[in-house]
Amino acid sequence: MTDIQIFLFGADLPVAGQRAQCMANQEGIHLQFAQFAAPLFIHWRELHAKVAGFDHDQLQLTWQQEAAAWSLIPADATEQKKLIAVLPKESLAGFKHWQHETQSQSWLWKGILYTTALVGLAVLLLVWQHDRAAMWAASMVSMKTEKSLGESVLKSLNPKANFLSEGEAVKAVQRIGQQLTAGSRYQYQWYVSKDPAVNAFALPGGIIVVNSGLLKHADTPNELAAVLAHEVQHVEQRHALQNMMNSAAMATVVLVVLGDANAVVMLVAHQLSSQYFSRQVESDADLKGVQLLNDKHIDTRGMVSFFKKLEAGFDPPKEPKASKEESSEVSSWLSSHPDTLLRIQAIESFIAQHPCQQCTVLTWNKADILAELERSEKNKPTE
Amino acid sequence: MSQLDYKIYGNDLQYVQFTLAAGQEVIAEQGAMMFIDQDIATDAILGDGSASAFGAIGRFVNAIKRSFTGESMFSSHYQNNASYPQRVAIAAPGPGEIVAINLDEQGGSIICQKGAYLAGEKGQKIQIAFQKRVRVGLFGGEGFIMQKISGRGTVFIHASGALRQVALGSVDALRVDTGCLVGMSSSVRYDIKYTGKLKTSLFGGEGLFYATVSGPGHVWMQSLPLSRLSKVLMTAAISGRGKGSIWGKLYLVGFVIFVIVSLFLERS
Repeated sequence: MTDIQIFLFGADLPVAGQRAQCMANQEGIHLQFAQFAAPLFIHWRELHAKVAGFDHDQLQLTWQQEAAAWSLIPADATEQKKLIAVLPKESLAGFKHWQHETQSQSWLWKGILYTTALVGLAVLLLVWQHDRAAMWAASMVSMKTEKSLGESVLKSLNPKANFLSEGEAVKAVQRIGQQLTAGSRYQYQWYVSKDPAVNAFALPGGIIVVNSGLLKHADTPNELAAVLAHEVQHVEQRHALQNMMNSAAMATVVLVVLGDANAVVMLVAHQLSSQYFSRQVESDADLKGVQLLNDKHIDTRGMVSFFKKLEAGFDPPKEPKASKEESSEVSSWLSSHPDTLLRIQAIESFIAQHPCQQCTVLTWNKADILAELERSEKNKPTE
Repeated sequence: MSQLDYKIYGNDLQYVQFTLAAGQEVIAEQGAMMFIDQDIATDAILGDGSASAFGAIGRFVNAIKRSFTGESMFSSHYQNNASYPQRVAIAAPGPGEIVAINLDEQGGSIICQKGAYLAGEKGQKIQIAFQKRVRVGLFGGEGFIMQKISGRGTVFIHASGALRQVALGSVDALRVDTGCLVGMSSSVRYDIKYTGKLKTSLFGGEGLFYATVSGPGHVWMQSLPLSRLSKVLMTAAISGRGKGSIWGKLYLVGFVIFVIVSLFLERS
């Protein structure tokens, strides 16, 4: 026998229920209530379980009595537990359904909670490790896609008019480049642009363009090899694709946070992300470039000496009148390759840690190359 | 505490007037006051004015929680400091009816839709009643958060349209249009039910689901939910603006033609 506090609902009782007490045992429920002449006994067979209450967690037991529906609801959660402990869980009509209804609700909430937590964690992990995520995403892009990407950019540069197709300069670049990229999974294409600015750049898929200005200012072939190694690493590490992934991710974040974004916001976000990214990428290409030179047994000092020249600005002994033009040519490399001084320090310490074993100094015929470049400049269509 | 002496005036745009005995107090929604007699002391109190186990911070947190239920963080407190009766009139914030509910007859608490509370006695608490059944929260028309008003004495709730109390017996159930439900006793179960037929749900105008309320207890329903009223007003406002404006539109077309023609004129 268990005493249970209940609310009783019935024909003449208040709609909001009447507080009462009942006793429950194996057989059924004994109700003692002032309104009844004798204590009432209801067998479990006559009772039906229903879900009640705003929280969908209350147990309501209903029965028919004198052509009216009666019901009782335990007064609170502890009273309800007492009632559930006593009632026959197997045979009480509707109780299985009651259990299912109340439990499925808590399962649903647990499911929602865990899923939200999981998604939140995944997002946090992605933000925290966004570099690696971008790298992984970039590695999933197929070589074919990458190649067609690079080729579409190349087409926009109008290679027929702006690039040298043959001659000493192209041959020299190709020779050194092929030495660097022997055994690579990419098929490299080497171009020399007629641009006098001291710069070089890589397009995804293995297209590397060296400006004639850079060839002119490189004193040794090792300096050219260093620049090429740097650009080759941009290709090998798929930096362009990583940059695209980063920008896309940034755009997603901006859209999620702001809900809507106009072109200006997107542009600023892209600028910020690519600026931050380019620093990482450039120093990554430097160090891996030095490693590549080491692997191919090419003297690594060219990297440092060329960067130092860039940092100092070229002294113009051969073309004294072009000093103004000169500075703008140099700043081209500086603007697309930031923080040169810091990078020189990083490269020097890297070289000190990884000294080059059996390294050779490359040779080239600079005079022929210069002559070739001179010729092409003369043939250049008037601008 | 003595019973509140009140009378509700007006038909569709109502206000409730309290006659406070000496020392008697009443709490009302912020900004709902219509008029008060001279010797009524007014005060703004944080939340519902009830104490918290965590002191001032607890009261502040409770007030923030209260603000989620469609009420403001502060409420107004009116007390008669004179030795003779004084009046306080509290007006409903919109068209509709004010209903007085005696919490003592409802087992001490009721659940209402957001922002239903208008006024009540001191000591009544307004808390969040969170809808634990996801489908009801999403499709029930009242959202996941409702307000639970608990305490003793009389509370005044307001909703647009005609506001009526319906009693539900032990096994009674009502199907209600989602949105027409204003409040219920805490023993009432509030669920949703699919309208049953695709045709009904598409063309019946009641949406995919009915709300179902099953007893025992009381439910309060409104005849005109604010969403329905605003829809009617909005439609009228938009179509009303178009009336008699045909000349205005023609004038615009004339302007466009003028601009186009002027372009050609300049070129020649």
